[in-house]
Amino acid sequence: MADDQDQAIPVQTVEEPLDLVRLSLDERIYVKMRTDRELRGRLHAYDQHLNMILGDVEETVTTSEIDEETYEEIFKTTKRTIPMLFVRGDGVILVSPPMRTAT
Amino acid sequence: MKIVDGMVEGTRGRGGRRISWVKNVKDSTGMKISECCEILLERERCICGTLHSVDQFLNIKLTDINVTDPEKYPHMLSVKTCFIRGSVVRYVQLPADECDTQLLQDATRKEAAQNKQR
Amino acid sequence: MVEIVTADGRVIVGTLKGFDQAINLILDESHERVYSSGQGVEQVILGLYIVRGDNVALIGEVDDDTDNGLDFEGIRAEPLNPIIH
Repeated sequence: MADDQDQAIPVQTVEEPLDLVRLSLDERIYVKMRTDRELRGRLHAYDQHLNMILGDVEETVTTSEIDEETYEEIFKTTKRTIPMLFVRGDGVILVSPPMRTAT
Repeated sequence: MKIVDGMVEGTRGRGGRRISWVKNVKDSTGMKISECCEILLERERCICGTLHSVDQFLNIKLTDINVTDPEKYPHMLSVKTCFIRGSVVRYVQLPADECDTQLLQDATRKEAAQNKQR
Repeated sequence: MVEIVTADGRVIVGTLKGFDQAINLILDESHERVYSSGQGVEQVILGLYIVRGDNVALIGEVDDDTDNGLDFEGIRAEPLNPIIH
């Protein structure tokens, strides 16, 4: 902690997208993934590739099937929880900061 | 179908920083490398094993592996040690009680600050 | 002996003769194990193969004793799905 001044500035401001992610550390975030997956969990770590470590994760997978008779698309969601999860960044589409409205 | 090989092509020049983060992860998760972790490949297939090592592309070496559903996936019955290409990994389930989350967050903040200065 | 799983879900077994940084592989005396739910595992002789690293998903070290003890005729399993990104 030699240069407190330098440290203080980036902590306060959002200059680039990853700053917003940094401000979400230790908060519950929403992550949209490729292949119709969504994650909700507490952000513990990330890097510039958006590799992340999330805690108490709820994963929602959405699959769609075509009904053979009506040809309607039926969406199914499956959920599971994982206590601690490393997520590889290349599957990440978006990261959303915590929803302030919810408790 | 195609492996989008962003890791190998994209990060070679920045390998140094990457290693440090992976190292942080390894240190703080205390993967004293004896804990069981689960690698979920991008094909809905689960392999459990002991994390032996990770390199800068997040290629993973696992020892003492078990396939979680051998009935459905008998393809690797005779394999006990394996190497998984980083690009095919979607998730790694970590042992939660061995993760020092405070340390992870501190390491992340520190690295974010370092990346700013460059 | 190694078993490799390719990005499109094939399983190839052979002797690993060499590899490089990009995980390009040289497999000697290799054969593919074709899994299907309708019949036992079919083994297709391939010979000397060079596999480009991009297509490699996993490399496993085969325990010869376990492998020799397997009843491939009796194994019924769906083939592995390809990798989806």
